[in-house]
Parts: sequence; structure tokens; C-alpha cells
Amino acid sequence: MGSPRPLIACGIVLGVVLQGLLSSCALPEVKPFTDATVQLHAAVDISGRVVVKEVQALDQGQAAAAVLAQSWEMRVKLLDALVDYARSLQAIVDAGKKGQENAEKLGAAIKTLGVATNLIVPGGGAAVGVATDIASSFYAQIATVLAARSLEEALDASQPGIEIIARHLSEDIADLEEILLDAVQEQMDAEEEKYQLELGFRLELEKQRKALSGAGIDLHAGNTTQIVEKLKTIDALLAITDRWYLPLQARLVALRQRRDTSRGLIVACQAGIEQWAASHTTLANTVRQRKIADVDELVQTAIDIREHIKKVRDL
Amino acid sequence: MSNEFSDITGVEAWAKKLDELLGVAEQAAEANDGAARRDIRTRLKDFILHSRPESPEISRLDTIASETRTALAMESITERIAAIAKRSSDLVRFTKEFQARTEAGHSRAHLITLEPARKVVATTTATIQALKELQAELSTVQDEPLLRDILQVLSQLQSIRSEIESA
Repeated sequence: MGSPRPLIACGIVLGVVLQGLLSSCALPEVKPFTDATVQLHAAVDISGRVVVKEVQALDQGQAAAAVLAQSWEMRVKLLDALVDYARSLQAIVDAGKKGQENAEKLGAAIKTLGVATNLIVPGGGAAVGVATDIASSFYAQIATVLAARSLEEALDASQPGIEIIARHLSEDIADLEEILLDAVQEQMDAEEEKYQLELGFRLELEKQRKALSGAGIDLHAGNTTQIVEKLKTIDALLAITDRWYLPLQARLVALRQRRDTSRGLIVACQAGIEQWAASHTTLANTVRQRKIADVDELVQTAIDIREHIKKVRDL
Repeated sequence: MSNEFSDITGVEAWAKKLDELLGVAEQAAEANDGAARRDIRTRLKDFILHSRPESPEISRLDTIASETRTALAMESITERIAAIAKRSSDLVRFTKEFQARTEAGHSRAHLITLEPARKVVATTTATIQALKELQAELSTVQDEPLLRDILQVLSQLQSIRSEIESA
């Protein structure tokens, strides 16, 4: 085995390089983007389903609903891919954070390897231990640097795609909202049209009642009883029409409520797209700006390096 | 409760009113304005509900109003769905792109965790230990070529170890 001096030199060079890298490197919080993606996935999926259902409810809506369902499925698959992408970013960050633990494990494995080879091929023992101590100490920080760089590359490469996707999804959701409004109105109009004759009759009754009430009761004309009787007859007829009119109104109210609830989800989804795209941009910017790493961590790294160099000198 | 239909009487007047509404419907269809289309659809529905008297002529007008209303609704819906479908190919491309990025991201993360390197070292250590045992057994055997081959293998393993050290 050679002299330990090259190891010392190596350690110093690594230290300088790493300090340079670390002074501009930290791993950001990816969770907000992951959460935003998961939420967007759910919102897009459910929005599509409710609108497909409304189109299916139309007499002539089956074919259109099928096309919409098929197209929307592609959005859901895209969101599946985006959730996985967000999780892969999280995996990179986690890998960077896990660096210390795994570097120690690797160091221990290399030392064992050193001992094993030294038993067969003499000359490879002590220096290996020191070298691996240095390497594992550095690797904890190298992992952070690698993770930050990998994250930056992934985010930068994805940013243009994210922007186009956000724009497309935003247009899709705007179209979906229009489809919802059209489909529900068509259902409401069709409901009322089914009762065209009945509604016409009721409208006529209401018109007559208003006319009688508006005319007022003229005591001198002696028509009071006649008017009251007419009003009673109209009220009785209106009460009969209530049998179909009230359930019709209830159905219309239910349709209106369903439309408003679905529209609320779609509006939230639209806002979600904006936030989702913004959180990716923020994440990319954070990584690009490379916020300064924790100073205590850097100081500790420097102490560790000095201790390892001392060990090499004492050999 | 007066509305635009309150003062209309007679088939001719109703026909004239429908003609007016159909003109508005045409404009709304050309303008591709969802709100304007829904507005005229409501007016056509109200036409149907208010038109009087119940006669074959009025019924024909109602049918025209109803068909126009439904056609306008379906046209709006199918146009929007077509617009969504048109954007699909782009999104399918992005789906594939992000699936590839995800795979690359996980591979990168796996490498950063040093797990593959740890496995290589662990395997190499086990191999060396096995060869050490073999060497001990072979020390009693006077087979020079075989011992030379084993030492060559060990030398290669030594190189691997050195590479790991310098990594």
C-alpha cells in the first residue's frame, strides 16, 4: 500500500471543493409541491367525472359524454405521472438527507473489505480505514450536493412542460365549466318543457289571480262575492297543480344546487392549477438560487475533516 | 310578472317573436359566447312555456324553438369537448415525458443513497473471504499454476478495492 500523504492531499482538495459547493447548496422542502400535485390530481379527476355524468344525463349526450370521458382519462393519467414525478423529487431530497447514514454504512463495508484483502494481500489495511473515514464524512455532504444538483436539473428540465401543462389544464377546466353549465341548464330546460302544458295552465291561473287581486274588490259594484269565489276557484286549481309543480320545483332546485357544488369544485380546481404551477416555479427558483447551507453543519464538517487529517498524519 | 311574451297574441305575433329569437340564437352561435347562448336558450324555453293558444300552428313554433334550444346546447357542449380532445395529444406526450423523468429521478436518488456501492463492496468482501478460505485449503497443495491464477484474481480484487478507496 502507498504512503498516506496522497490521502491527506486528497482530503484537503476535497475539503476545499466541498466547502465551495456547500456554501451555495441546501435541499429545499418538496412536500408543498407534492401535496399540491396530489390535490390537483383529485380535483381534476372528480371534476371530470361529475361533468361526464351531467352530459350523460342528456337525451342526446351519450356520444359526447363518451368522448369527454376518454379525453379526461388522459388528464388523469397525466396527473398520475405528475404525482409520481413529484414523489421522485421527494426521493431525491430524501436520498440527499439519507447520505450520512449510508456513507457510514459504506465506510464500514469498505473497512471490512480492507481487512479481508489485507489478510490475503499484505499491505492494504490501516490506510484504507482512514481513507474511508474521510470519504464517508465527505459523502454526507456530497450526497446533499448531488441531490441539490439532481433536483435542479429535474426542475429546470420540467419547468417548460409544467407551464404548458398548466396552461392546457386551465383551458380544459374552463371548457369543463362551460360544459357543466350547458349540460345542467339543458336538463333544467328539458324538465320544464316536459310540463309545458301544465306550466302554461298554471301560468294562466297565476295571471288571472293577479288580475283579480289587482282589480280590487269594489263594494259598490256588488261583485265582491263573485271575485272571492273566482279567487277561491283559482286557489283550489293552483293547489291541484302543486302536486306536480312542487316536485318539479324541487328537482330544479336540486339540479341548481348540484350545478353550484360542481362549479365550486371546478373553480377551486382552476385556482389549484395556478398554485400548483407556481409551487413548481418557486421550488425551481429556490434550488437555482442555492440558499446557503446551515453554518453549524459546515463548521462540524470542517472539524471532522481536521480530525481525519490528524489521523492520517499520525499513521 | 310581465315579460317579453306578456303582450303577444295571435299566431303571427308569436311567429314574429320566434323569428326574432332565432336571429339572436344565430348570432350567439356564431359568436361562440357560452353565456349568450345560455341566455337565448332560456328565452326559447320561456317562449315555449308562454306561447298561446294550444294550437297546431303554435305547437309547430314550439317545436322549432325546442329543437333550436337543444341544438344550441349540444353544439356548445360538443365544441368544448372537441377543444378538450384537441389538447389531448400534447398531454399524452407530457405524460410519457414525465414518466421518463420520474424513472430518471428515482435512479438518481438510488445512486445518491450509495446503496449500489454498498452492495458491490459487501459482495466483494464476501468473495475475498471465500477466496481466503480457498487459499488456505490450497496451501497444502503443490499446484503452482492454480495458485498463480488465484493470486491474479486477488490482485484484480485489490484493484477494485483501490478504485473504491479513490472514489
